[in-house]
Amino acid sequence: MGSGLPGRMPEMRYAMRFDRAWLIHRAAWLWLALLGNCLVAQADDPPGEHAVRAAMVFNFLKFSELPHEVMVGSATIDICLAVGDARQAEALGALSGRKVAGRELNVMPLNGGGEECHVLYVDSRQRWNSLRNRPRLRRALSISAYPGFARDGGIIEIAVESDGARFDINLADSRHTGIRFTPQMLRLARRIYD
Amino acid sequence: MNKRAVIAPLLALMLAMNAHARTAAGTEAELESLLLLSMEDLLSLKIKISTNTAQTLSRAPSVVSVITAEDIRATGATNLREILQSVPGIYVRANLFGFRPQVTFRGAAAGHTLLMVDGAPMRDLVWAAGIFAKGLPTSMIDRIEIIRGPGSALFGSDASAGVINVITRAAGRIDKSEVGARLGSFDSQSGWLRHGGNWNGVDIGFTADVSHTNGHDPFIPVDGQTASDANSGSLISYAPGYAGYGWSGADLRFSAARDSWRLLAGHTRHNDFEIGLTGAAVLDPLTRGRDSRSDLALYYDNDLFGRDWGVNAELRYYHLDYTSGDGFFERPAGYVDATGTYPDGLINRMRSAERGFGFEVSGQYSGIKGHAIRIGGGHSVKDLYRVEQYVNFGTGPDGNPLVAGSPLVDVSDTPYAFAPEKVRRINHLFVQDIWTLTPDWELTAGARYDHYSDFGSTLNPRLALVWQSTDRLTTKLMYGQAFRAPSYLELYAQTAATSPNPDLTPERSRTWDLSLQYAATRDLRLGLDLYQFRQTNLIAHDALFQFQNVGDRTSSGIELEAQWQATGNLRLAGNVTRSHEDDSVFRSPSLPETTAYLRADWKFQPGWNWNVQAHWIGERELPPGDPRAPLKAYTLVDTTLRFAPKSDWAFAASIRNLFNADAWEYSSKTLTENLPLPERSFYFEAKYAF
Repeated sequence: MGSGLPGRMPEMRYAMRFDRAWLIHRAAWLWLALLGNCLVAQADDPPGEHAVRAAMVFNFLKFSELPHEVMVGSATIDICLAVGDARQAEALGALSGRKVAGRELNVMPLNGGGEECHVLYVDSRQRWNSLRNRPRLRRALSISAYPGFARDGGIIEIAVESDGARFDINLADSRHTGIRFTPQMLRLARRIYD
Repeated sequence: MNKRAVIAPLLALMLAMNAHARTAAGTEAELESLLLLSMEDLLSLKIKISTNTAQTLSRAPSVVSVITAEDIRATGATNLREILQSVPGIYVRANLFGFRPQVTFRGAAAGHTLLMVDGAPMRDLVWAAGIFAKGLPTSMIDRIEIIRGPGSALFGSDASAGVINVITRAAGRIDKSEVGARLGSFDSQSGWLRHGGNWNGVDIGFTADVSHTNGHDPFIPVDGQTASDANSGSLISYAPGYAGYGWSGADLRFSAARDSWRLLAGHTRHNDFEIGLTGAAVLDPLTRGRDSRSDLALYYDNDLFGRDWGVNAELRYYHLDYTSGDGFFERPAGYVDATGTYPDGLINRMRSAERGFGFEVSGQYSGIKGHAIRIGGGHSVKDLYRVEQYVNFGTGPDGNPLVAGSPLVDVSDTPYAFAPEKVRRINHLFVQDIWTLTPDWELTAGARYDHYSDFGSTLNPRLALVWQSTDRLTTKLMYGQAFRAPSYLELYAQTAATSPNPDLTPERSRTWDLSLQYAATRDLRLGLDLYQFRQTNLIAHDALFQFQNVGDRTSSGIELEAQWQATGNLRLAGNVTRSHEDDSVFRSPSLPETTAYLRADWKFQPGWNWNVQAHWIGERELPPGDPRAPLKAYTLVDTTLRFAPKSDWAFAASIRNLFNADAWEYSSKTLTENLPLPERSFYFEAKYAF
């Protein structure tokens, strides 16, 4: 067709030129300056969001009572991770070996074992939707930081913002799993879905 | 050697080692101190939000931008083309034929941009980006993911200069139902409906958008026929006159999702499409084209399919249909050439239809510590199964020239039709490993092999080293190769302007990128990208107007961007890009070397938002042989005021080209004043959510 199909046209030389070496040189120094600024600033920085989420998970376990019939005979609390972010996985993994109510925390990737998970930490709605009906997770304390998790049937939704952390509890669904929370934890929750 | 050139890398290395030591040990120590706090104290802490909370963005082994539905809503953009130009490196060029938006990245031709909707490429076999493409309505867009740079190692053909993936508002992503309407200049009207819900455990989503505009119809004092009139003594040109750019459109989408399964169905069409000017810059007020495209896709995504394995699979089907209606009127009635007079003008009536089917399966293996290995493959069939053409000029079905005054004759199913009915089969395999060397260093290596039934094979690797230098700084060094498959137009289609060449091989490219993402403060984020983009094997026509693999070009450039939350109510964002071309004659003509963009969003009262954005497009050279002065730089300022008095109602008013800037797009040597862009225009919108 003749319409709309002009061939590639040759091009004029450009009078204006980059000085590429100059540009790379300046970019290298800019990068150094940014790096130096970051390192100096790090000393006074508040705690990072990944570590705060991990610490909140630890606290949730302190103030929750997992179902007796699930925990009986278990020396560990198995925390399964369905997380794509390596930094979040690393922060949660650092909980391994610590003890809550006499039981050692055992953090592992969800697809790394076949046993029942006592706690599930999941990072996205897509993952949660693909997981929520799995038998080995049916009684698990599910925790996530994606917005809307509690409304999607998850039990604890974390919201981490620069001015502080919050959490919501889906009490209605927690009852189906047999998980119970202390009054202190319920008092601190931002929202309770019942 | 320059002493500073030695000191800089050494200093960088020392800082890097220091940074790594601090971040690795820091996580454990940080957690230790947090575990000592009471729950109340923990909740009351100020928290450092990572430079890029959306981890997939900052650490993605590419230069990535994301435009959200909220970004779009604030600007009042009604079409994808309006919002894309806010991304550094992107220039949306208007084509004289139908005023179609041609999305270009980093000075490359639009054919080197891969546009996808929900991961489905929008390319077609003959016209590449669709002969009547008009962008997409924003009402169906959930977000837009944009990769500046190569993507063929993941997505295959066309992903040389950039990739745009439009994610639609589908099941599970529609919180509320919504209806809306918009009115505006150029007799523009549109309406949309959106609904999401859950039916027996299945998430359902539905969107519909219908629109009409008469177009801005620029005044064309002299067109491609004017000179012919002067030579032949005829007076048949429609110039001086207006180039009609009206069209009507509809976009319907349905989706369903449950667990790991998703079904997406979409249908989009354009009716009464006015082309305004033909490719030869001749005013054509008669053509009314139309097209339609239907897509059906089924996805299975399960990151936790089995021990250490995730699985993704997709099945796709599409069908598209183009027709020129009664024909493209290439020349007006009474046209005269050396063979005589054409009482009805030159008429080119065309129709083509294409269908395609494909699948892809991939597995993600995470059983090796520190590695996320993805391996997969697929097969697709694209079938141009209908080509119909009727002409009253050029070559007839018997191969003989048609004489002036001939009636329309059918050249379908002959070698003289504009393209052959032909099937293209593509097999592809890919592998990629994301190797987490340390929590702060990540190396991505991958390659994709494509085999095309018509021109052979191509292998495209990529490498990316991503360093989370500190919590505030991410550094990426990337290399990628990419390709563009020759279109049927280039391989097989004889047109009035060009001859095909079935021996063509793909156009190829190699790109180096260095990217820095820096959070100067919690409220100020900066980005810097440096790139070098080399294209080889470029396809262009030779002196006999036959397509050949002949061209090379290299460009390099810098893209700077910033986002600043100045106060709780005021957000500023902007970018500046500058590119440099080598001396090649194969650069796409008339793309700007320098562009700048500035945007402000001010929530000055509860429920109110005022958005102002300014696009500055630098001077553009014209192709060799065009004696006119370069196109002048221009600035377009748009503003939108939104008011949402309640959560259910929202109103907006927009002014485009607020200062009525005199802005022009390059079009053709024969259009003496080039192509005027729309003057100041007004839009009003109301919507109700329930």
